[in-house]
Amino acid sequence: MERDNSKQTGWLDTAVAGIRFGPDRKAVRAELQAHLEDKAADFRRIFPDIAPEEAEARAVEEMGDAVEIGKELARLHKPWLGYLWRASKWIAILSVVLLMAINILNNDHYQSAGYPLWGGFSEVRGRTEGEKIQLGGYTFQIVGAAYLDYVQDWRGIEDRVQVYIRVSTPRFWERINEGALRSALTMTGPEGWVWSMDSGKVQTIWEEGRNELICGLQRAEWGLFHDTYVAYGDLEWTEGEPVCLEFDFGKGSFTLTVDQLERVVME
Amino acid sequence: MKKRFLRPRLGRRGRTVRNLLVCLALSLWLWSAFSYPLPTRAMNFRRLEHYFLLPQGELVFREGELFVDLGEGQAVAGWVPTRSLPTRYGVYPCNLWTCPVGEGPSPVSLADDRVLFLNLPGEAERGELTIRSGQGQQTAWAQAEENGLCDFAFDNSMEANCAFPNSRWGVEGWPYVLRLYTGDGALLLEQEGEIPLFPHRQGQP
Repeated sequence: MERDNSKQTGWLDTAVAGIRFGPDRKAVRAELQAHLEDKAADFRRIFPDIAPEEAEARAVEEMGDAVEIGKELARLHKPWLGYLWRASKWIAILSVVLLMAINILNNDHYQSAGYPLWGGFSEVRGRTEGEKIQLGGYTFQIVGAAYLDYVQDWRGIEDRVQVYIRVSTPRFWERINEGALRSALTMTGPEGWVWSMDSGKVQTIWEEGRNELICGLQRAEWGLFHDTYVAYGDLEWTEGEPVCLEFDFGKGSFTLTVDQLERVVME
Repeated sequence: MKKRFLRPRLGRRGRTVRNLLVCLALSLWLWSAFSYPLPTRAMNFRRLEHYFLLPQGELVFREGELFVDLGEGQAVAGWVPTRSLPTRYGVYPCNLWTCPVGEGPSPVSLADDRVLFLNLPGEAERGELTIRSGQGQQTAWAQAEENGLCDFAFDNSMEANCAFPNSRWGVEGWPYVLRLYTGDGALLLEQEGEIPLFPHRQGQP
């Protein structure tokens, strides 16, 4: 019995020797052992007088050449795929645990930037498709322009121009820095009106207890690959007069002009 | 009898690909959670130049968190203490400033008590820099380096010029006198000027 068992064991060892990934080797060995046991059981059923040792020996013979089978099994069970599968499983589990831990500790369900991946603070008025300029991997385009006309200076709020600039980049992790845009941007209008977006001017609405930006730059909406900013200017505008946005970055300069503004009567 | 929809069972390869895709998505999420860190601060400095739309030149000075690169007519200096992009809460601070550079020796402020001069003539061996600030006059001496740089460090920090409230480093806005000497002690060049106010781009929302 021991001799036949060692024959079976020897056959199994030879057949799985080429499988270098441990878990696969164990699984294949168990399956081959099950086949051997089934074959031996079949022999004992067909030949009831056969000795158990002989049944097992014949079962081993029936399975075939262990060396040839071993070569084929080694070809089918590549170790690197097994290790990769194991590693991917553990990395995925670890990543989930780490993210859960970070979320629990920081209570931050968004990017570390503190904002959702897309959203907006205000609607774009006077939608338009302006000229696109590319600089340093960013694309600049005017996407909206409006003149807010407060009827009869309603509640003392000043009329103002709003120009919406979209800055897009495929590098979602490097969306344009608001400070850099602010420092680089100047709005110019008719009769030599100029305002550098590096500073802001607000008007206090006393009845509502809030401040309204009348000159300056503010974020309007954003997505994964773009940010849209609104530049305000309290210039006196009439139909047909162009408003220009002059950009002066260390890397280069350009101007975007908007000729048509949508007059929005605010009441 | 209702037919049950059986999901196709993925093989070893399919499950590995699925797991790797999940790992990729989670890694991207983790990377964004830490504000997209890069392997080194030098790489982050380069990225910040791109991020602030500043020109990229040749890196001529690097000391710890301080970087200076020199391009055509302009130098970009930066203080980059982290490997991540600045977030809206300023958790990952940084500061980059641009400095116009002429043909001759040109100053770049590095701190409240430190000035780097670029484009020194090749014969210069030693330099002497005197700055007259609001706190009085200070003089520093330094050896000129082979790449035409001279790094002057003062004993006391200078305070910003009150006439220019936007200056970031205390040395900016003050008048200076630069004297360069050759190896045998002869005066090679004397230059007077004012340390310019450099526009700073800081990691702010």
